[in-house]
Amino acid sequence: MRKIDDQKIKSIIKQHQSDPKIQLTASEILHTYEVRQEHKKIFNKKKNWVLIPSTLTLAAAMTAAIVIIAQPNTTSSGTTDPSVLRQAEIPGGTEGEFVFMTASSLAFSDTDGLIEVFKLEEEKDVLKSNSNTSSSVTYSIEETLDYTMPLVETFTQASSGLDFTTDQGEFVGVYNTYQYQVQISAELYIYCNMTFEDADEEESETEIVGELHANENVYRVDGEKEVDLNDMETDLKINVHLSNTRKISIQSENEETEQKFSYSEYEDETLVSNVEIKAEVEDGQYSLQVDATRNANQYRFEVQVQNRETYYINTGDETIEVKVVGRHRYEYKHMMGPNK
Amino acid sequence: MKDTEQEILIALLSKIQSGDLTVFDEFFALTKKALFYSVVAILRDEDSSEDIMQEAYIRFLENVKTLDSNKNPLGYLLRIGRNLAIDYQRKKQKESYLEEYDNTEAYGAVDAEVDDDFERVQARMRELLRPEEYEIVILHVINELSHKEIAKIMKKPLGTVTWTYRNAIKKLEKGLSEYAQD
Repeated sequence: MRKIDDQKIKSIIKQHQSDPKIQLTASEILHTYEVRQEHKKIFNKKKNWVLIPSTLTLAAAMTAAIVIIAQPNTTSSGTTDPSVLRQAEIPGGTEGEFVFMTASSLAFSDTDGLIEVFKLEEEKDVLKSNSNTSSSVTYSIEETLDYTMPLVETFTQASSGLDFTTDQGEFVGVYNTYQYQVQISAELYIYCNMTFEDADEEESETEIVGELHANENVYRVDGEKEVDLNDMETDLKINVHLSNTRKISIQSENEETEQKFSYSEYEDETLVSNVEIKAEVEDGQYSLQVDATRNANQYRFEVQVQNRETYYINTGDETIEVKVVGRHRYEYKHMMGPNK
Repeated sequence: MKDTEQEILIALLSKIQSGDLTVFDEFFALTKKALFYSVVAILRDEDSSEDIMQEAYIRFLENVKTLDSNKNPLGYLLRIGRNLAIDYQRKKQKESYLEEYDNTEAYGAVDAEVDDDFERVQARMRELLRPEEYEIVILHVINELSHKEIAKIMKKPLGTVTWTYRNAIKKLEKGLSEYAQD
């Protein structure tokens, strides 16, 4: 076959060739690839965790499932226990966040049966007095700490590690049949289905529908995960339905150096209370900031985690030393000025 | 593609296969134009082509460990891109694209709005050539792939590729004469 004389044509094409304006970047591709990999991994792996013995009470089981049991505190006063949280995120990626958010809704709620999950019998009276949602009630900082510290404690401890096991299969729940089971303890587990919605150029969405089993109580759970492909941010939103009219809505926002969880309690679509916990690492410094709103009362304070039994609350006006004296029971000592 | 570029791509492939994605930037920079031209030759739409490119790179990463680490990965990448583009086109047109693709005489009229030199030449080429001819010319002239490599990517016999290319060049010699420099 005669050799093709294509030099002239090649020359014309190449002379008129210009670099294509490709907007796509390597980091966009890698991010989308990692999101997909994470989605494939999520709820599709089995971890070897030790389950909580079923003989424990539900309260103990739930707390122990989320909380790493504190080692004896040998840290001297004025220094910080290095074993406690030093990163502004819950471990375990989206899966860890999902488990933390769903389970910690129980720590946030002080409603009906849920309160029994987290509070010891002797604490009920205290909580009942605090759960009066009449608009005439004024909440003191201590009352605010009463209902926010369980979340702060849970968040701090969960940051050090979460124990749960995930299985894929067919799990028959109360409301539906589910593809995934997340076992946090013998008495606390989540069934759910995840539907990956098609990602467009800017974001991908995953719908989550499931139910949270806490002892004999079952709560419907729904939510969604959004990944912004431009900003590389992942947001997770979970609703735990306590009843037909009452729900806890938990939202997470992740940015490069901070992680924020917002807990909102709704009654008939009306916001009853809201607690926002923001963990941030800036210039190597870890900080935990809490915004708590109930009725017209609003508090903002920073939490310094001394160790798993001692926290310092800076309100701006004063410092309060918080000692953990029992499961979600605290003693408060008002100190002068912000803690240094 | 130059031998040195091929060697670099093979080296990068090896790193990606071992899980080092920090080199992906470089891999992307070396391959994006070839993939873009290959996909846009089929789709004729730059926005859709970038979507297909992204999907092609992701599929590439997902399957990278199964590749022969001694071979230039560009061919594999272009093959994924081509398959995705044809599949996309097929779905978009809700009919057998391949049938149309093989039988179409030409892409159609030149876009009146085209003002870029390269795009004008490309539009003229599409006017003159059948889609398959156009794709082969792009892969050979712009992406600098050998006929053998093109045959592999397009899953065509080498002789068919060479024959198609020869016919395309004949058409272009007539049709692009106005662009030839004195």
